[in-house]
Amino acid sequence: MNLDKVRTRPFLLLTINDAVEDGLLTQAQISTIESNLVDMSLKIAKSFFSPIIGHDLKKSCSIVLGVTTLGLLKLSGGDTLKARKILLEDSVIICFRKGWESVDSLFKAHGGEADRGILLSNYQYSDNEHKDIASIHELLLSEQLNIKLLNEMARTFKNPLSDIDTYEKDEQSIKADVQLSVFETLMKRHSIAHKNYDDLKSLLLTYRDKPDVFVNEFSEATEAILTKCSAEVRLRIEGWLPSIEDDFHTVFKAIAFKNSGPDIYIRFFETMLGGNINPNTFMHAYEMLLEPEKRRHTSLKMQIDTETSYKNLESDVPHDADLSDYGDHTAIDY
Amino acid sequence: MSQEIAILAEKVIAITHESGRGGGDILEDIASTDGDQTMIAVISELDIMSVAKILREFDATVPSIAAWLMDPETISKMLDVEPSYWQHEFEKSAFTAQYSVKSMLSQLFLTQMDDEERQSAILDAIIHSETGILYLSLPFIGLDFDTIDHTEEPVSGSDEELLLRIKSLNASIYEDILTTSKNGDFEEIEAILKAQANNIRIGDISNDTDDMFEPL
Repeated sequence: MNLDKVRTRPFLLLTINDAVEDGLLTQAQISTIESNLVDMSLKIAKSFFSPIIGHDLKKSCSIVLGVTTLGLLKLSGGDTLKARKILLEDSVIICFRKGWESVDSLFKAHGGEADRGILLSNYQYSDNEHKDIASIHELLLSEQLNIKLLNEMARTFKNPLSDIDTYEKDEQSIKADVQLSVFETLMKRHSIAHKNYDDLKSLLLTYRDKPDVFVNEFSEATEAILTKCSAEVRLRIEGWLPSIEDDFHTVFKAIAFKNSGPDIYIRFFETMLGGNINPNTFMHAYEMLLEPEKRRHTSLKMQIDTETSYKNLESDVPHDADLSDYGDHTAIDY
Repeated sequence: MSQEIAILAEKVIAITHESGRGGGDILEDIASTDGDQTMIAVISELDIMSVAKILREFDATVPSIAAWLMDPETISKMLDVEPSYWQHEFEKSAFTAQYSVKSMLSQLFLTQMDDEERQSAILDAIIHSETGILYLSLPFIGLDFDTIDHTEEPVSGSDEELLLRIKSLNASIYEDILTTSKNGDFEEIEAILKAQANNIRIGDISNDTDDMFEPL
């Protein structure tokens, strides 16, 4: 096999080429390979695209080339002699089916609602290019599995303090939810409820002054959480733990302990959640603030007000109300 | 077939490849310069996919003369393959299969309404195709049949107009359409029509590849 060809052609075509050059494939065998590839392309076209559009037919051929190459690579482990043996003794259909096994795993990772035509398009491979089709597949699959894992974690660690259902959670905010869950486990251990602001203040003070105590309790709390998780989730959280622990130490040191319990409560959770808080759940703590402190929480106040006025708007207006008067202020003259 | 017809047919196919409307226009040119018979002869030399591509560019407001002159069997065959064009249309625009079928049927049944005999023959030919009743029913899935006023003149261009026209041509087909569209699932019927059209288009494939989608 010449190295210059390796760079620019799919493994399947190189294997066929070499076998032809070495006189190992009869004309009849070549015709069978061709007609199998054509038939499979037509079936891809009619099942996933449109068999009357030239562009779709071309795409279907590229997909068959990609999936068959992927399968041949998997069956032969990239060994050229093994690949040749498969081609001579078996068929390209076997190679395609092996590749389809991978495609099918990507379909399954995306679930039944996903557009399979779009997913399949990722496997296109044309005859005069080189790409690492096996790595492309691995990447597609691992990206999707990562998304699924993060979604599962977002659901598991969903918490009203940070739960705003209008936006999709990113990795950072899911990590913050895990951190929150760790801290709530610690609160429970000390029988501190969310409105016991002063108890919380003294717990934080203890953690700041006795880092060893915190470290011990932290590892017990995380162990308790991890035992309830699936292996994949566990692995992901374990990777986050050192930075979560560091983060706690930093936050403890930054707390102004001269302030009141409610103030510390609000600031602590705001910092931990990176500002992504659900203002409704902080309404009670805000009302308990001392008067001068209230002025320092104007942004929270604004968030609470926005939420409240939105709620009032919803409840004030009956569903069948005539809103036509509201639309009469357009000044545009057509 | 004379050489003249073959040359014209080749020309129509080439133009249709670029645009279905262009193919329809050139057919009309042929009819006006060489006469209807020549045009019919040319149509009979076209592949059925090209015929479908031309006719789906027209509707009841701008009907194609070709649709008026084609024989019922060809029309029925053309409707069998027409759904092959849907998938591509979905990707291009806000297209619905229901709309496409409706405009095709309106072109066939809501124009040239004085020729009832021919329209009945077309309806007959369609119903003899395996999926004919599904094709005829697709536009009416979701329609509230109880509100149809059978005594008043229906609004021009409405679903009711088309449905009542079919009823006046053949009451028993109308009943079949009613049953099918009341019980049928839109997506399922659409999928069946598309699959059948694609199969006709692809033709027979050797059964070597029957198990290609079975993971190894």
